[in-house]
Amino acid sequence: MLLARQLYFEAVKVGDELHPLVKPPVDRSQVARFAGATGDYGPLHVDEPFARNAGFPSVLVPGMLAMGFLGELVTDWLRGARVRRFGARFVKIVWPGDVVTVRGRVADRRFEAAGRYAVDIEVWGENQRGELVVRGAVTAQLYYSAEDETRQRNGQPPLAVTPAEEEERLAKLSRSTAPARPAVGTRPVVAPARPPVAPPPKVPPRPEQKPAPKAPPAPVKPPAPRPAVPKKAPAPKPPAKKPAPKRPAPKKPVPRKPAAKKPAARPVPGKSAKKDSRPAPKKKPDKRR
Amino acid sequence: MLDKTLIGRESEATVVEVEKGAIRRLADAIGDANVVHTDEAAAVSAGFPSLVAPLTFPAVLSQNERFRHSLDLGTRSLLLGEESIEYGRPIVAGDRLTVKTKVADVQERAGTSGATDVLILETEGRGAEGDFVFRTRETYILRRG
Repeated sequence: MLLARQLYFEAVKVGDELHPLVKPPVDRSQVARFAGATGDYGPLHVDEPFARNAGFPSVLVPGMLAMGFLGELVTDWLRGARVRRFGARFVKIVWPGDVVTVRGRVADRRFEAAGRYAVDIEVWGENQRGELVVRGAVTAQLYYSAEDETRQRNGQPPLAVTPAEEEERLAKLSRSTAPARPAVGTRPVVAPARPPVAPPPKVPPRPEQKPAPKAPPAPVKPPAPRPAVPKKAPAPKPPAKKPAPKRPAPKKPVPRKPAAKKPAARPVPGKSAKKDSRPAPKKKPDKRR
Repeated sequence: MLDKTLIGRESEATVVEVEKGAIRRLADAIGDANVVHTDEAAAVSAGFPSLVAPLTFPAVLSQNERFRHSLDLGTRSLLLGEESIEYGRPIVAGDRLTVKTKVADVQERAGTSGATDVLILETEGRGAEGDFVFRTRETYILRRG
């Protein structure tokens, strides 16, 4: 039987972003539970005096907990697809009280041996200060489509689709205009193997073709088969694999409301030469220290 | 500097039974909301024989305190710098895995505060038929003192 919500290769695009997951602040109880669950009672994580003696301000949150967050993110997104590899590098220590947000993005999608389809996802986690704490990579194998899954579950050979066939299909789907692939230069060529999607379509549009599972019924305006790519192409991504720790984060604490609200001694309503000095209200509860 | 002769040293093979409780505890500690880790019916309807272990579960299976102790690292504490996991298949409750750890490498790296020792452990888990289930590679930084 099929999963109600399955993730298929045909619907995955390079650049797709995983919905970010904001974890609750990590506290010492969670660290203790994690130690119990993993059997790793390394003193740096559970023994505060020991950690201080070693020169740290407090116990450290185990890196594997942060990797666990990445795993949760990926498991949710993959919906049961087979993970083949998962690696992570612990870039910065996570401290009790930190709020970790994990994110991910599809870095590559590959047609492997006939009937095998893989995606590479880059994942990373940041703390409440927007600092990169963990960076990882996942490779997973997906069914090409619902048809492929059905075949394989029934013991039939996998559906073999070649990149050329996929392109042809996409070309048919895209009606008159070629999906303007944004200037190749703007995004890193992560997937050299994958040529620009859909060459100019010469085939007249087929009326009721359904591109991907969830595609909405074709309205008047032809829904480009892979609309998300050009449209939301996440701003210029930094090249290479760096997960780009930057993004429009809530770093800037909304500085305006405080001015009005606090008629304190120094009225700086209209103009403020420098950012209001006192209030840094919206700042996240900064942890330890 | 760590003793290079540690390279290649292997632990004894241990047979681990993957319990539902262990899977649930890890998912709970992570706060992992994916129900395939905690709800058996959900896991089954998703096509698995039983509860599915979180992706980082192999790291739990790789914990071998006794082996680590045998390496005689002194009082230095280990800080995990990198973790890498390969999967042969998903790990599910009820699996009986044969697990073995070995010292893959010992290195010295220049760190910000002088040279640090690096210990790399590899652990492999195999199923009842000897089938490959997982391999982890852990890079530990040894802190002085």
